Amino acid sequence: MDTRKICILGDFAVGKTSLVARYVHNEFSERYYTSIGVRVDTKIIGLPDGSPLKLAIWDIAGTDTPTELFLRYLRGAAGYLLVADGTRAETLARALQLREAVESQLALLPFVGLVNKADLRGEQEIHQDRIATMREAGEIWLAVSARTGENVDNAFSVLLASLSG
Amino acid sequence: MASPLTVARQVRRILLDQVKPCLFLLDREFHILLIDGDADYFGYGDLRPGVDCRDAMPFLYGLSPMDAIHLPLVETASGRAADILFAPMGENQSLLLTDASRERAGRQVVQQQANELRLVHKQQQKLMDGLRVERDELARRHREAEELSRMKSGFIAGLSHEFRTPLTGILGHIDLLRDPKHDQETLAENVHSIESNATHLLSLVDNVLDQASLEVGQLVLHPVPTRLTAFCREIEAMFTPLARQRGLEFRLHRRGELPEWVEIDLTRLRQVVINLVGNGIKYTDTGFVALIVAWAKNRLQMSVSDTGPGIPKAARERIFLPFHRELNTSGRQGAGLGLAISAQLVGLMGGRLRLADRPGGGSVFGFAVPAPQVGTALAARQDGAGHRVLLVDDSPDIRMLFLRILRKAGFVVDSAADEPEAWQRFEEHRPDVVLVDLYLKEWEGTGLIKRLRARGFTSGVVAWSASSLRQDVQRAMSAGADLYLVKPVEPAVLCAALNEVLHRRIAG
Repeated sequence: MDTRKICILGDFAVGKTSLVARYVHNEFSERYYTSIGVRVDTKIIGLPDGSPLKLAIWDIAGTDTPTELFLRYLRGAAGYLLVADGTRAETLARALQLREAVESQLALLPFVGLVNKADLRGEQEIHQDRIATMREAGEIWLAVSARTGENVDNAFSVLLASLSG
Repeated sequence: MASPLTVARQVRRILLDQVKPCLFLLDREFHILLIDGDADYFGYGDLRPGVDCRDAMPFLYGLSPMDAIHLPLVETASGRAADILFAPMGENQSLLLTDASRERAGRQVVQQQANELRLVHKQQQKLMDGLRVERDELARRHREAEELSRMKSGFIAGLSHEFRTPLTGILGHIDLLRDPKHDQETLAENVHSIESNATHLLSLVDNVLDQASLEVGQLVLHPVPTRLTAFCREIEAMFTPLARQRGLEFRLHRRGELPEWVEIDLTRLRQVVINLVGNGIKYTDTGFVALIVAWAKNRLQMSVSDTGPGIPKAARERIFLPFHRELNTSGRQGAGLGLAISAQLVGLMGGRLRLADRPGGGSVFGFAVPAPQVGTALAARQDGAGHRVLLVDDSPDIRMLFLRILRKAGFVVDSAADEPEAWQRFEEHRPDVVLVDLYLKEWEGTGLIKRLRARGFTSGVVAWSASSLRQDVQRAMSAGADLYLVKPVEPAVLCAALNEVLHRRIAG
C-alpha cells in the first residue's frame, strides 16, 4: 500500500493532538495534555481513483523554536499542517516562524495552514482580514475546530490534494 | 567483597534494566531478520522475523535504508516512549529502541506546568486588556455625562434668564395697560409687545417640553393631509416681513412641481422650518435667507441657506447636541435647543438634518423626509360643509376660540365643558364628529370616548391634548378615537383633521 508521512506542527496548546484525534479516531477531549516528543498515528484513506493510501501522521510536540531535533522529525515528510490557535494571535507568528525554518533548512514542502478553535467565535484574535491577506499570497489557510470537527477532514483532504498536485 | 567482574556485571544488569535495549535487524525492505531484547516491553512482542515492521512501527515510514538517524522520545505501540537509533549496517539496517519513558514522564510534568502557566498568563493578559478597554469606555462615557451635565447646568442657568426676559416684558406692558390715560396707539403697541413676548415664551416652553419628550422617546408624530402650497405661502408670509425688518431678503424657491397635498406631521414640519429659517434670519446681518422646497419619489426635500457668517468646522459635531449654545455666543436670544430638536424631529420623520457650507459664504441646512402624496379629492372637502361638530374642552378660552374658527370654516359647532354637558349636547344634536380634550377637569376624555363608542356612536372622534406622550396617544386610540392631535393645533390642521375623519367614516 502506498504510504505518506505528513507532520502536524505548531506552538504549544494550539490543538495539534486534538486535531489528529478528531481526524483519526473522531474523538475530542477538553483536557489539555502537553505532548512530549512525537507520536505517530496512521489512517488509511481511499484516493479518488479508489486505491488506498496509508497516512503516517506525525504529531510533533509543540514548540516555538525550530531546533535541529524538530527539523529531524520532519525528515521524509511529504507535507505538513501548520496550526495556529485562533484565540492566541502570537501562535500565528510562531507558526510562520516554523514554516520559515522548514523552508530554509529542509525543503519547500506543501503545507496547509489551520487556524484552530474556530468554535470560540467571540474570542478570536486572528481575524479574517489577516487570513485573507495570507490567502491572497497564494497560501491555503482554513478555520478549523477540533472540538466540533469543523473543516478537520477537509484540512487533511486539501493537504493530500496539494501533495499529489 | 565482590570481584570487579561481578560489579561490572551487576552495573551492566542495572543499566540494561533501566534502558531495556531492543535491537531489530532489518533488511532493506524493512523485513525483520532478527530481534534481540524485550520487544514486548515496547509493544512489539508479536513481531516475528520476515514481517515488514513498518505497519507496527509507523515512525519508520519516510525513512530510507541509507538513513542514519536518532529520533528521541517516540511513542511506541505499548504507549511507552523510546529513543530510536536507526542506522545502516552493511547490507542491512539496525533499529535500536531504548526506553525513554521516565525521561518523557519527567519532562511532561515540567512542560505541562510551564505551558499551563503560560496559558493562565495569557488569559490574565486578555482579562487585563478587556478591563483596560472597559475602563477607557467608562471614562469616555463619564466625560460625556459630565459634558452633558455641564451643558444642562448652563442651559438651566440660561433658561431662567430666557424665561424672565419675556415675562418681565409681559408684566411691564400689562402694568402700562392699567394706565387709563393711554391712547389707541400706545394700547396697540403694548398688546403687540405682550403678544410677541408671550409667543416667545410659548416657544421656549414648547422646546423644553419637546426636548424632554424626545429624551424619553415619548414624542410621536401625527401625519395629517397637508396642503404643501399653502404651507409654503404661510412660511413666506411669516418670514418676508421679519427678514425685511432686519434688512434682509427672504427667498422661497419651489423646485419642480409640488403636489398639492402630502401626508406629513405639519406641526413638526412647521417647527423645523421655522427654526431653521428663524436661525438664518437671526444670525445673518446682510444678504438673504432662502428656503428651497422640492418633492420627488414621495419625499419632501427642504434646504435653508443663508449669507451669514457660517458655522466653524469645529462646532459642527456639537451643533446638533441638546443644550449646546454655540450659536448664542453673540448674545442673541435662544435656549440652545432649537437645532437639537429640529435634528431629532427630522430623524423621527425618517430623514437626517445635514449641514454644509454655502458656496460664497454662509450655511445650508437641508433634509429630505417621507411625505407621500395624498389624493386631490381631499381639497374638495376642506370646508366643513355643514357637518356638525361637538367640541368638548374644559378651557372656556379654547372653546370660544375654536367655536369661532370652526364655524368660520363651515362647521356647525356645539360645545361642552365636561362629560354631563357633552352628553346633553350629544342627545340634542347628534354630531357628525366629536372633538374631545383628553384631560377634562374631573372627567377623563378617554372615558367619554369609550362610552360614546359603547353607545354605538360610529362617527368620527378626534382626541386632542397638550400632551404628546406616547402613552396618552395610545390611551386615546385604544378608547376609540380616530385621530389624536397635539395642542396647540393650527386651525387649518384641525379643519383638515376633522374632514379627514368625516371622510374616513363616510368612506368606511
